[in-house]
Formats: sequence, structure tokens, C-alpha cells
Amino acid sequence: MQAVNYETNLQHAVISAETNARYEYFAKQNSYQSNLELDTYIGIMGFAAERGIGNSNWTYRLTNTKGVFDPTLYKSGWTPRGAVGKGLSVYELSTLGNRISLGADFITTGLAYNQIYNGSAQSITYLDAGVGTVGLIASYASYFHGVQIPVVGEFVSVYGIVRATWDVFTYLGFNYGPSHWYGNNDTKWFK
Amino acid sequence: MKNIYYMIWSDAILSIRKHNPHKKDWKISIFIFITWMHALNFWVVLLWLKYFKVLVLPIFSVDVFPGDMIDGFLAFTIEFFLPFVVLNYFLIFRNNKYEKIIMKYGNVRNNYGSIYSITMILGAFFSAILYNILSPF
Repeated sequence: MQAVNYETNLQHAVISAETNARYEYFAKQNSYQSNLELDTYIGIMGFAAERGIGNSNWTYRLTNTKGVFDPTLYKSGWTPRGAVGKGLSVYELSTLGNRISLGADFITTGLAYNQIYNGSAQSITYLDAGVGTVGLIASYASYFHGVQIPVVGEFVSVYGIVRATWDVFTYLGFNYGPSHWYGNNDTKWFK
Repeated sequence: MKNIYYMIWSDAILSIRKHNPHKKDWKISIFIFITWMHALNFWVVLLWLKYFKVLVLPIFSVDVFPGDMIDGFLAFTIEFFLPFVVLNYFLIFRNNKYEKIIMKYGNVRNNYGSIYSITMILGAFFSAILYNILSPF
């Protein structure tokens, strides 16, 4: 009857567990995005809203004086005055832009904290949370101290477009990159 | 004893009215902002309760939209944000109750809203970092 070597078996078990944990860790670190997620579009939308229409002087209406749906854009920034345009509801485009931008910021931050709580966060998640925090600090400064922090808007916007670009090129690389040029042979590129 | 909850709201409303007098949508702005602070507060408490294994909520997930972004945000909103939307609406904004709150607490000189908000914003971020460092691999 063969003797059982408990010490050797225990060593093998520990090594196997460590190896499996290592594989799992690096698989998580190197997980690529195979599809364009909605966060890409939200990043682009937030950027466009912030830079494009957030600083615009344009106004718009949704309905005409009879209450019928008839959206119109006023590039001159026109608003009803006195009898002219009486009964029209005209809104500022910049308000809409800032709301969309703030909404995109909330979505990114909410998702980041949700992933952290659920244990599914990656490195980029903490960066998202950090940028969201900067955006919240900008809102805080405006609401409680009446201070507009100019650099923050630019920083968050630049981050938004870099993040969106990162997602787009990761998607393109994963689906159409060098690993696809020679079938499944990833080493042929270097031969 | 002064109710800190109402004092935070009183300070927040007075601050936004003082510093943004021409802001037409100040009600919805401060409502969303302070409710978000409450959500972050709740999140921080639950995060550390989870870390110390006192209370671990089951993972709440939503699978409605393609991708993870909107679904993750919806899950966070329903789990952390929505309860305070209901609470704050009925306690502060329904029937313009905030006017009475400002009458009662408006004269009290404090920065509770400001201190609470910045504490929650930074507290949530540093809790996330610390939780990641302390959590076992």
C-alpha cells in the first residue's frame, strides 16, 4: 500500500490555489471590451453637451403659440418680449446642455460606486470615480460658494473624450486588431 | 435639539439661493445634489458594514439595457438613490414644506449643508480607495 505524503499534497494544493488565483487576477486585469458599451456614447454625449451646447447662447421652443408640437431653434438667442412671442415657452440650450452633462457625470459616478460595492471594479473604475468626484466638487463649489472652477469643466471634458477614445480603440483593437490579421496565430506578426 | 437633517437642507437651500439668485431650476438642482449626498452617505455606511461583515447586501443587478453602464447606474439608483428621493420629497419639497423649514432653521448660523456635502463627496472617494487597499485579493 502506497504511503500518503501529506506534506507534498499540501504543497501541491497551495501551489494550485496560487496559480488559479494568479490566472484569475490577470484574466481580470486583461479583460477587453468586446462590444462598444453605452458608456462610450454617454462619454461622447456628456462631452458634446458640455462643450457644444453647454456654452451656447441659442434658445429653442418645443410648441408653437397654439400648443402644437413645433420645435424651433433660435440661433440668435431670441426670447419672447412683451407682445412678441406671447404664449411661447422658449428655453435656453445651455441649460439643457449642462443638465445632460451633469446627468452623464452622475451616471459614470453611480456606475463606478456600484461596481466597487459589488466587487467588480477594475482600475479604470477608480479613475471614473475620481473624475466624477471632481465634477461633484465643482457643483458643490457653485451651489455653496458661488464659485465657478474653470479648469474642472475642461478637465472633465478632456477626460470624457479620452475615455471615449480609449473605449473605441479598445473595441477596434479587440475586434479588428493584429490578432485577427493572421487568424488565431498571434505570433506570426513577429516572424 | 435641532434636527441636523433639516439644518442641512436649510443651509443648502439658502446657499444656492444666495449664490445663484438667477438660477430658475434651483429646486431640482439642490434636490438632486443633496439626495445624491445622502445616497453616497448610505453607500459609505453599507460599504464599511460589508467590509466588517456586519451587513452584506445581496448583489442587486438590473439587466434591461445592452451593456453594463446604464444597468449598473440603474442598480445604484434604485438601491441607494431612490429611497432618499422619496424621503426628501415628502419631508422637504411636498407642499413647499422647505419654506417652513427655512423659517425655523434659517436664522441658525451654520455651514452644515456645505460641511456635509464636501465630507460625503471626499468620504465616498477615499472610502472606495481604502476599501480596495484593505480588501483581501
